[in-house]
Amino acid sequence: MNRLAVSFRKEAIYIFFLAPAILLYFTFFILPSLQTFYYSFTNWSDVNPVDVTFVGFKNFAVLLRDEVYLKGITNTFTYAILYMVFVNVCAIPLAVALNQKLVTRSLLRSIFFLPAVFSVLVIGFLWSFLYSTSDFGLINQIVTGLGFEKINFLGNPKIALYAVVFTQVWQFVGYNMVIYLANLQTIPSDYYEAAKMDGATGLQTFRSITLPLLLPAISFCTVMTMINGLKVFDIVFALTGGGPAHATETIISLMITKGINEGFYGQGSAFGIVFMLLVLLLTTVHLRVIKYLENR
Amino acid sequence: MRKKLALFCSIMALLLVVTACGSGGANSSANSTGSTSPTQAAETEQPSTPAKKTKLTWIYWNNEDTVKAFLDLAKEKLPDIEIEFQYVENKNYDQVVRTKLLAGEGPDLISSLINDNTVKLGYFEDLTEKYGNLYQDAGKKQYTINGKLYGLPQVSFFNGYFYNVEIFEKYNLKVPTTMNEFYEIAETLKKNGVKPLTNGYKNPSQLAQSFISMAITEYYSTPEGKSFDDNFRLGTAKMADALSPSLTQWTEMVKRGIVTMDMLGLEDPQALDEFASGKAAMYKNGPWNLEAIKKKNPNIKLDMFPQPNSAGGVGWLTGGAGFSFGINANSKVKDEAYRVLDLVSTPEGQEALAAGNLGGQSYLNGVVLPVPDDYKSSFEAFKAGHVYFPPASWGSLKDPIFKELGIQLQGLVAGATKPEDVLKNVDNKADELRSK
Amino acid sequence: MESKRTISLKLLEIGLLVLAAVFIIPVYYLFVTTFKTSEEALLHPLRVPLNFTLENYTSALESMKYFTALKNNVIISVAGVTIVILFSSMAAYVIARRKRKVYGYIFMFFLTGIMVPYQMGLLPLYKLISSLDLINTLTGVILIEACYSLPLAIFLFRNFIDSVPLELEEAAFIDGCGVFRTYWTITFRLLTPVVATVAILTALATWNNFLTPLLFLHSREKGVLLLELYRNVGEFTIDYARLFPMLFLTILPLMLFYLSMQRFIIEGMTAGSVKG
Repeated sequence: MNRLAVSFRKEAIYIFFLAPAILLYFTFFILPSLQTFYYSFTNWSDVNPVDVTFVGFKNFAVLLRDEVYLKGITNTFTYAILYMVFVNVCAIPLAVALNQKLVTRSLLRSIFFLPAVFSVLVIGFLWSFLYSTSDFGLINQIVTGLGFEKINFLGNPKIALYAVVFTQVWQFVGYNMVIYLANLQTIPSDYYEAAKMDGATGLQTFRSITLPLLLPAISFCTVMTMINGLKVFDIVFALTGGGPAHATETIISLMITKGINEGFYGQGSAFGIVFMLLVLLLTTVHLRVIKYLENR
Repeated sequence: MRKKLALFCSIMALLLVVTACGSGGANSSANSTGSTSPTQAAETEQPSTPAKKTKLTWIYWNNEDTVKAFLDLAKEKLPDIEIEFQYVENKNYDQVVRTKLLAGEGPDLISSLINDNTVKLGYFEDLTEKYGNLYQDAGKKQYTINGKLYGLPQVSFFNGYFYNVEIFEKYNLKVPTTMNEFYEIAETLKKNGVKPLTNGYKNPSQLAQSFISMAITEYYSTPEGKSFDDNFRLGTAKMADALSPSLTQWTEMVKRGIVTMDMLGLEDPQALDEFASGKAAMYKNGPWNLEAIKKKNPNIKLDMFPQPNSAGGVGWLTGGAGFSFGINANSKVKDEAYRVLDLVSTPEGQEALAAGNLGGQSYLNGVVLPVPDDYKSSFEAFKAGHVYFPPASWGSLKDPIFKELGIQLQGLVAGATKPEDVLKNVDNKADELRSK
Repeated sequence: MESKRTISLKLLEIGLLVLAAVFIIPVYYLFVTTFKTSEEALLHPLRVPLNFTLENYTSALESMKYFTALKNNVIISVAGVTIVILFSSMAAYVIARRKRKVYGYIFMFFLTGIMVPYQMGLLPLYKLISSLDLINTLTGVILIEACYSLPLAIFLFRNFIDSVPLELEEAAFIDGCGVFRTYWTITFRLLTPVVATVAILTALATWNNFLTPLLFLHSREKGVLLLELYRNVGEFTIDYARLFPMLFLTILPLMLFYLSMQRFIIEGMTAGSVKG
C-alpha cells in the first residue's frame, strides 16, 4: 500500500502531463465511440429515439444481408488499396527524380506539393467541373478535341470510383513525395558511390539501396494512405454523393446517409463498429507485412 | 490473465483519477482556449448594443436569394426580430436538422420534416387553432398528422418541361400532347444535332422526378391509382405491382436515347446552362430556375408544357406545396416565431415568398398569385387541377424513397441494374424503412 | 562521361517541368477562370483572361461575408493548434520517457484514434456537445477538432522525442530541476521541428474540416470559409462568374500561407514522420 502511494506520488507529475490530452480525447472521442458501441446493440432509430431496447446482434445480421452495405465495404477497400498503391507508386519515383541535382528542384517540389494544402471540398467542386460531360468539362473538351468520345467520368458507375481515386492521388502525391524526399536525403551518398564503383545500373541501385533504405517512409506513407483511404468521405460527398447507383458509396458515406439521414441509428452504429474492426485488422496485417520486410 | 486484469484495472483507475480531476483539467483547458474568449464575448455583446432584436433561426434548402423578398419584408414589418437565415443543401437538410432536433436544439423555423415520426416525438408546435382555417386543404394535407396541422403549406412548386420556343419553331415542332408525339419531337431534334432533353441526373432526385411524372399520367391519374400512395405508405401496396407498366413506358426514354448515361455525369446547373445556351431544346424543371435561365440568356424565349398524357387529353405537372413553416417545439422564442408565421399568413407575405418562385401558387385562402406567360402551355393543366406530387403522401418514406428511386433509375440508365429489379429494390428499401 | 550525365539530368529536368505543368493545370484553370465571364470560360478555358474584371471578387467577398468567416477560421485554427501542441507534446513526453508498461498502453489507446474515424460517434457527440452548451460556439468546434488531431500529433511527438538524447535532461535533473521545468526549459525547445510539423498538420486539418462546422455552427457570424462556400454554392446558383472566385477565395489564405512559408512547411511536414 505504502509502496503504491509512493510510486503514485512519483508518477503524479506524469499523470498531470497526460491528463489534459487524455481528458480531451476521452470526452470527445472515446466517450462518443463507446456510446456508439452500446447503441450498435440497440434498436435506436429516429422512430424510436427514447426507449431504446437491447436487440443483440440483429443490427450486425442486417448489415451482412444488405447489398448496399456490402457494396460500401467493397468500394471502400477498392478505393483505399488503389489510393495507397497509386499514391506511393507515383510518389517514390518522383521523389527519386527530385533528389537529383536539378536547377528547379524547389520549384518542382512546391508545385507537386501545392494541392495538398487545399480543402478536399474545394478540390471536389473543382474536379466536378473538370470531369463534367457538359461542354464546360475541361477534360472532355480535350478528349473530344483529340477526336475521342466523351468520357463519362462521374456518370458511369463502372468508372466513377476510379475517377474519385484519381483526384485524391493527384492531390496527395506531392505530400507523400515530400516525405520520401526527406527520407532519401538521409541516405549517405557514399552508398551510391560504392554502388557506382561496382558498376551497378540505376535500376539495381534503386532496388538494392534506395528501396530498402526507404522503408521507414514507405511504412509511414502506406499506413497513413491506407487509413485515410479507408476513412474517405469528403471527396465522395463533394464529387458524387455516393452515386451513380451507389457506385461510389463508401463506408462512411453510408454511415452518414443510412446511419444518420435515414435514421437507422443502431444499424449505423453497428456499421461503424464493423468498420473499426476491419480497419484494425487491415492495419495489423499491413504492419506485420512491413515488419517482415524490415527484418529481411 | 491476472496481469492483464490488473493492467485493465489500473487503466480504469487512471481514467477515474483523470475524470475526477476533471474540474481542474477542464479549467486549464478553458484557459488555454483563452485566446478565443475575448472575441467571443465581444460577439455576444455586439447585437445588444443596437435596438434590442430577438434572433430567430430558419434553416432552408434554397439559396437566400430565393427568399430575399420575404426576409426584406420581415425586416420592415417586424423590426424587433432578426431572422437568421441558414442554408443547408437539400440532400443534407433532413440529416442536419434532425440531428439538431434530436439534441433538443435546432432552428426555430423548420421547412420540412413534418411526418408521423417527428410529430410523435413532439418536435413541432400544433398550429391547428391559429392557422388551420386560413389555408386550403390541398396544401394542408401533407402537413396534417392525426387531424392536426403542424406546418403551413407554402408557395407551390411545379415541374414540367421547359422548352426553347425558338428551337421548336425552327424545326416546326408543336407542343406534344401524347408520348408518341414527344418521342417524334426528340427524334427530329436529334437528327438536326440538337440535344432533345437535358437534366442533371447526377442528382438522383431529378431522375425520380422524371419517372414520377410518367407514373402520374400512366397510373396515378387512372381510377386504380387514386389510393396507391396511402397504401404504399402503410405498406399494403408495392411499387413493383403498381408502377411496372409506367417503368416500361419510361424505359422508352432510355431506349430512344432521350435520357442518356451522359446525363448521369451532369450537375443540374450544368444542365441549366445547356438549356439556356440553346444546346438542348428541353429541360425538365420548375419555376425556381426561371430567373437563373433568363440571367444566363436574357433573350431566350421559353415556355413549359406538362407531361404528355399518352391517353391524350390534358397533361400533368408534378407539384405541391414547396415547403412549409413549422415551429420547433423547443424554440426559446416561440412568440416571435408565431409573429413571423402571422406575417407569412398575409397576402403580402405570400407574395413576397412567391417572388423567388414566380408562378408558384399560394395555399392561403383568397390569395391568387399571377402566373407568368412563361408557362403558357401549362395553363390548361393548371385549370384542370392536374398538379400532383405523389411522394407528398408517403410520410416519412418520402425523402429516402424518392432518392432511392432515383438511385435505382441511375442503375437502369447505366445498365447496371436490371429493369425488373428497379422497383423491387425500392420496395425492399421501403420495407426496411417501415420496419425501423 | 560527365557530359552524358549532365545531358540526362537536363532531360530529366525538362521532363519533370512538363509533368509539373500538366499537373498544375487544374489550379491554373481555377485561377484564370475567376477573371472570366461564363462565355469566355467556355470558349477559351485555358487562355489568359482578356478583360480582367475584379467585379466577381468584390461580389464574392460580400456574399461570403468573407472577413468574418476568415476571422473565425483563424480563431479556430490558432486555438486548435495551441491546444494540440501543448497537450500532445506533454503527453508524448511521458509516453516516450517513462518506460512503465501503462504508458505503452496509453499510447495504444491514443493510436486507435488514428484508425477509428471520428464520424462513428457523431450522434452521441452531438448530444454531448449540446449538453455542454457548446452548440454554435467556436469553443465547441475548437475542442472537437483539437481532439481529432491529438492522436497523430502524439504519435509524431513521441517518435521525435525518442530520438532526442537524454543527456541534457539528465543534467538538468541532477541540477535539481523538476520534471515540469526540465520539460519546458530543455526538452520542449528541442522539439521545434516537430512542433512545426504538428502545427502545420493541425492547422490544415482544422482549416479544411467541413463536417464539424456544418453540424455544430449555426449562425452566420460563426461561419467558416468552407461553410460560406457551401452556402453560396446552392444547387441552383452555380455559375462560373460566381463560383470560381469563391472557390479561389476559400483556398487563398492557405495558398498564401503555403507560398510564404513553404520551405518551413515542407521541412516541417516531414520531421517526425520518418524516424532517423
